[in-house]
Amino acid sequence: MTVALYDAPGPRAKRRILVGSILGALALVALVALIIQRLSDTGQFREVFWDPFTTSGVQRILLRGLWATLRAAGVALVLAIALGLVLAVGRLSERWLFRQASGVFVEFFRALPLVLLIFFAFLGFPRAGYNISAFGALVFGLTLYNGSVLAEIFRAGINAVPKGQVEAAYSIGLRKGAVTRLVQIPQAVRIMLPAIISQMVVLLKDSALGFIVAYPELLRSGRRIYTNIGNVIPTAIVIAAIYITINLALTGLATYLERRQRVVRRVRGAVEPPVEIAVGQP
Amino acid sequence: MDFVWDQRELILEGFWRTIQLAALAGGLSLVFGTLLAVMRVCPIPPLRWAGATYVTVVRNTPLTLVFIFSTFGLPRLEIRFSFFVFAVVALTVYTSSFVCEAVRSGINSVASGEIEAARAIGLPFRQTLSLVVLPQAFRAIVPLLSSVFIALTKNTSIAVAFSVTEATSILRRLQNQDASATFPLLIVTAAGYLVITLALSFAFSRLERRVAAAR
Repeated sequence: MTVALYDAPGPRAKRRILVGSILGALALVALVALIIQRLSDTGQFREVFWDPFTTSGVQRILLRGLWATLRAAGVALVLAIALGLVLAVGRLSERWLFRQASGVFVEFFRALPLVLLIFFAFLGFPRAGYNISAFGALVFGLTLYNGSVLAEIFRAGINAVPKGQVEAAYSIGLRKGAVTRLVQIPQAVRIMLPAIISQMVVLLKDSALGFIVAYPELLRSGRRIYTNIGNVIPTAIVIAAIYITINLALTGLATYLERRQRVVRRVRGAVEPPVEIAVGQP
Repeated sequence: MDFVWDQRELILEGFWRTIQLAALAGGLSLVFGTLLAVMRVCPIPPLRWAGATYVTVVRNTPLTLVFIFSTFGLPRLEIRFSFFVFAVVALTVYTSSFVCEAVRSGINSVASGEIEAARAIGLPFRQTLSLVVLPQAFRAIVPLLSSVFIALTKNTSIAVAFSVTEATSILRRLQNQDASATFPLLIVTAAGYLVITLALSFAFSRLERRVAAAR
């Protein structure tokens, strides 16, 4: 919040804020108490529901699920970055055909539900005579969707490199390819890094869709646990905590990089470019 | 293709379900998201923290997990609704946090002079927000809301794994009945989603042009 929406409080306003704070806090405490009451009334805090998480068997299931999640997200990320680069270069190409083709590709795959893309591979490929695992289908969907989103991020990043840089590169005799490769992309990567990491959070969350095609990722492992023990809510809380921890770490990294980048720019006295980068889709 | 044509009513019903899901969850998220955003900028600290915590927790949780919480978790708390309502709950809980962040960025984009002027003529927080800041914020975030609602429409397809008979689960069911129609079914379903998302983005860009003039 850069602009204060309210005046600095005087003595009366301070009193009102205090009263409001107390009432607000009470209301929140009441809400939380109500939820906890409900949870304990229905026996969600029973030890039989929570003890399993201290056993190595259940922990191993969760770890294996986490590994499967990270593997799918990691492979999809690498492929999506490659696809995104190709599409971004296509969209910035001087050839009309490349520009249009990559534009249509990006718009098309951003407009379809990820679930449908995964089903396209999962149901469609075997019909066409290619066998595909749940892992393959998940990675296929994640790659196409995130590749298209990343293409837009890359394009915005390349466009955010100051024009003088490109003009200077042309004026010392570099060709278009070399300008892109040697001048635009290295600078764009630094500008884009925070947005790319935010997209990693989206990708990691989306990898949970493996649940739908029975890929044994974190949620599927959770299902294995709660169908055995019947502790849906405790398991879901544990898994949510795992996702939130990883994602907060990634977001923290993005914020750190963003801040560091700003410092570097100020020190060099460069003109700050208008970094208007489309943040990945919710 | 004949099979798909024969089942056109079922497919259309599925898409009608998808539209219902998106419209209900979208309307509710708009209300809750705006409330959350107001909480996040209000002068009362506990409400600010509560709003921030909600957004942090929900935004970093996969939507599929939110669906598990609502569809499989709520019945454990003896809270029972139909699968459709559970899906609306999950989508609303999730989308509200994105609407909240969109509204908040809109509030931040309102020129500081506007806010200072509102305070200078003695408007209290509530009126500053409702008469001056929010009307301008909503104009500014039409494109953002557009992408939030398009994402919501696409996200309704996750309900396929949670017993709601929306478009994707109709696809799944019909594909089970006749595997030879897999590709026609996939193409028709993809086309259906494209029609909905394109219509949404068209409507929002018209809305954007209409409200832009006042700025």
